[in-house]
Amino acid sequence: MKQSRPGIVVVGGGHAGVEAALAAARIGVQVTLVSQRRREIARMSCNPSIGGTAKGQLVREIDALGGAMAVTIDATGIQFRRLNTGKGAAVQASRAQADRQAYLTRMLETIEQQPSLRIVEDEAIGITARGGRVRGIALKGGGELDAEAVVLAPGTFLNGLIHIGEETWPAGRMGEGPSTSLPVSLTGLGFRTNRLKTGTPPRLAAHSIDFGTLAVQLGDADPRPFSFSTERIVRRQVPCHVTRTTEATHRILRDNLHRSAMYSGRISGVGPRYCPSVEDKVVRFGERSSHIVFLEPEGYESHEIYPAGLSTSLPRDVQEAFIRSIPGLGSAELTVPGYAVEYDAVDSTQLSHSLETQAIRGLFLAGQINGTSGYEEAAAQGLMAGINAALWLLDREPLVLSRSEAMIGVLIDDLVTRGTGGEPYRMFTSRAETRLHLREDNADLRLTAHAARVGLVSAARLAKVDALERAVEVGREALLSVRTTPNAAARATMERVGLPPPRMPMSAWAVLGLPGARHSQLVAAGLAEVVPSRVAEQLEILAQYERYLVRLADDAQERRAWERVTLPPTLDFHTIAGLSIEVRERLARVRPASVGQAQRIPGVTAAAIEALMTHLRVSRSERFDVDGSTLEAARGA
Amino acid sequence: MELGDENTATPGSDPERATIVALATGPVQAALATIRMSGPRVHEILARVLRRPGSALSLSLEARRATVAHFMDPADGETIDEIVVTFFPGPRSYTGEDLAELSLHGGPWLVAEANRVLTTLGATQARPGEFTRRALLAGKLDLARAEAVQALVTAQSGAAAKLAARHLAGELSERYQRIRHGLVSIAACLEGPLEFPEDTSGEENESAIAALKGLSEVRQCLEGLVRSQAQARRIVSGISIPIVGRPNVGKSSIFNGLLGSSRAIVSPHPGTTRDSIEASMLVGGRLVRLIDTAGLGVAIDDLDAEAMSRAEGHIEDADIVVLVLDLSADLQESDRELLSRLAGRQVVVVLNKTDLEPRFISTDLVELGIAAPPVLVSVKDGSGLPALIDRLTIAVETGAPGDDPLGVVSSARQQGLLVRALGDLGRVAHNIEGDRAELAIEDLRLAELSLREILGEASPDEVLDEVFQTFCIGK
Repeated sequence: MKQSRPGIVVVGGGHAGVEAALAAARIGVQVTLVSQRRREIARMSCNPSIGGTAKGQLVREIDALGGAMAVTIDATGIQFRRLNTGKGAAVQASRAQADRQAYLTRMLETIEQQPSLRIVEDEAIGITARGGRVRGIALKGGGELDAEAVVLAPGTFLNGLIHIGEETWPAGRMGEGPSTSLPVSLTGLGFRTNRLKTGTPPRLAAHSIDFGTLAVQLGDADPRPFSFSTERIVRRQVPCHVTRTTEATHRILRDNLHRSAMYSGRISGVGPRYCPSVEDKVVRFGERSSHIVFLEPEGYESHEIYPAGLSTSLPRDVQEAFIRSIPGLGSAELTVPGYAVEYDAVDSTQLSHSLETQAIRGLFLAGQINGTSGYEEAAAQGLMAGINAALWLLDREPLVLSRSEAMIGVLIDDLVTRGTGGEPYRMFTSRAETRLHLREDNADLRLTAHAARVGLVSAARLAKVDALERAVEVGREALLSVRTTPNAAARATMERVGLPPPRMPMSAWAVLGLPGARHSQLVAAGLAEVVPSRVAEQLEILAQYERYLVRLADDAQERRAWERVTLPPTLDFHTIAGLSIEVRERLARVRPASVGQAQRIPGVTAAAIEALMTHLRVSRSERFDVDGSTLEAARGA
Repeated sequence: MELGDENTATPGSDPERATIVALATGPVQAALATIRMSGPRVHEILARVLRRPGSALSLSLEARRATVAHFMDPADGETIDEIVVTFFPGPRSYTGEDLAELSLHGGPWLVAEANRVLTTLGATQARPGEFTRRALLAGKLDLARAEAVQALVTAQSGAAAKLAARHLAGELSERYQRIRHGLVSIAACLEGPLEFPEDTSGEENESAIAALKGLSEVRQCLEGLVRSQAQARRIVSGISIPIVGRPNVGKSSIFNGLLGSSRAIVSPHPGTTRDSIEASMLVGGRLVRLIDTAGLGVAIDDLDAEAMSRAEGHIEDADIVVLVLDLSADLQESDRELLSRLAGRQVVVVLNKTDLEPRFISTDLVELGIAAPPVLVSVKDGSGLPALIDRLTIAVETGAPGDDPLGVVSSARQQGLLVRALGDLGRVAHNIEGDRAELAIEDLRLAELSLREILGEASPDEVLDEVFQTFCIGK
């Protein structure tokens, strides 16, 4: 079957693939989503939850940009919790347990209802490219799909290899075959790859667990939605349970280490340090007598429990033994064993900031293929790859988010500039220089304008955000203009509303900047007008963080100046005088688009940047010499 | 252009860019030194530090024309130097921004002082090559000039490299490294519970306590470093010269005589100077911090004891000590004690009250181990004070062993960065205790940036690496 329908092909129906397909179709291009099995689209292969620290920020940004993840989890979550609520706004994050089946069903409905988007159940076995441009993909079922752009999001399927104890077999994930042809095709196109590893815990039968003896962890009483467009969460919430490993558990793990796939040396891929297997924890933190385990339900109807914290690649019999040494799990039954999976990832420094490969125009990569882990990281990349593939087709400028305006910007810049450093890359708020600004609460304020420009959110939604922004500015001006004097009356008022009495004259804005001050207290003290709750929230955060945000904005300004000094795509880094061979190779590998990006490449020194700048000056002047008219103009000056 | 009118719009500059300042001439002592300042706030800062010579009036500056001006510290209105200033409004300047060149007299303390004033007003210390970088960014350099500048920049890094190499081999950079790593560890302590709230629940207090403990160690280390940089201190705050002696030997009178004013309260009663009084003056072209101390002897009350212990502290920190003896009284045990404590230090002995009947002679002093001839002074009729100033001039010019003009400027830069780091660290404990760990980490990051700037190092993901080593995580 050879069909010549022009448009975009998205390979892979995971969290990256679905966002890519939906975004591109919504922008208005024809999209074909190629997935091995329609029923597995948007499946959560690991933990049944969305969000968490830094990841919550990503989901809110995806929502602000018109993505699907936030609205889907809002509609299918079974427990919502905000993390770090006792801490500052910048590190608070939303997390939700998902009903795994409901989530994928809902997402599939969204895709099926999306005009210009069709699903093809097949496997991509090769990428067709000619003249440095992608032309389509080859299908296992025969034939080719022509495409002007391809978004590749195959997850852990590239040369996937599952390990359980001594057993090893090729697979993309449990129950699904690997992709062995696609890696050959990618290598043939000249892409460098590396080997990564990740793991997942066994699943337990719910009826076999003695929940009565375990501590209960409930969701928030007043759950906050992920999406800015969800009014509120109305779904019934279910509890999680908490238990802990014991000395007996650790003894079993230690006695059987030699049978683990990781420790017996059968795995060459590098695993993530932030998500170690339980055997890893016992080895690396041997002094600890116990590790926490969260028992997470997989859905209202599901009979499976996900024991978070017990990722393992030990043989099935050892898994059973150590699980049963844990309180509450004495007669637990395994429905699926835990396993480790090794897979190929592409060196992400071969991408540009639009997630398009530098070598093949029209080919975009997203998700675990770029060396990341996590549904949210994948979805964020999928969304951006889908947007940029569509914009490319429409001959429009790509959408590149900067490090100082979005966590997604940090994520993608890290991938493109620094690479993942050999282990699966997870988002952390500390990776962002400006995390005090890149918060969950203001994702719409930061990003809606971008989404409106590319056509992913309506003008009405943008108008709402603009109105909020103005209201915050007006509220701030008002607070700045109100002053309080340290007289007896003012002191009494402040004490009455629970604010520290002023010792010097200060503005209401400065009062709001005092630790823990609430806008409602200022209202009670007669220092502020009542404003909508979101306006009050923004005012509180901005007042508390102001001195830091001002400095961060200065730094960001400085960095932006360097981003504006662009490097020509034809620049041959090997010809630059004054650079060490190592630095030349690093630059040639990453091919930075600007001096700003070059500065962030590990190992590129300030002196190297100076040499790069000098080279730019020299080569530009040489061009002037060739161009007679410019030379004449210069003489005349 | 009329300075003093801060509303004047300055064309051709990006208002959000930092205003940078740096010494443009070499770091060696010379007749003149040029400080260069560039950025959107140049005009505003000049308006605050420059005055018309001999008047408090603001100054009128013509673009690109050298003008004589008084450079003063707006904090106290004291004139620091008479300088020549040239203002280049952007975009017709080297950097394309508003730029000023200030020609000062070349004393290192003058330069440091002017630098201090400008940075206090909001200018930031330029990194090596930053003026040139801005010029390149603004498209201000042509090929010939770019080459010339490149040569200059290289020369500058040559000197910087020499310094860096010296520090790299020395104990100092090791201490910087230890401090920097300490900051990273503290940040990691706080970061773990933020990034992994569920894995680390229950460990939070422990982490905060560990962070506070680490913080106090790092601060002590930093403060020690700031104090230990005696050479930088001498340039920034002046050479410390306490005037010491028994009560009522005339220390305050000598202090006032040297200053030519009546800053200290002079009275004939012993023990009038309970606290130390300081004043700055120029000796041999260098800044001197003259300190009038309480008389040393037997304390009669707690206040007295406190004043004496302070005086002893000043002796401890002194660069040069002026010991005053009363020629009209017998030498006492406390004089001998003081002398023995000053062994090995640079001491100028003054015999006061030469107008009265002498009770001992110079040879008595030789017995006490005083080799250099004392300076004979009578504060009452002012005789001998010029001779004392001459002696101090010689002492100041001799300097302390190990003084190195190359190291000095670098130290001033490092000192500034260390002080800035301490300032950022000042808020950390408060933020940890107020449960604002994310702000504490931001403060630590800023402090660490200063240390990194001193060391000239790049930034790997050290905090995260440390988090993974410290916390057992993995839900």
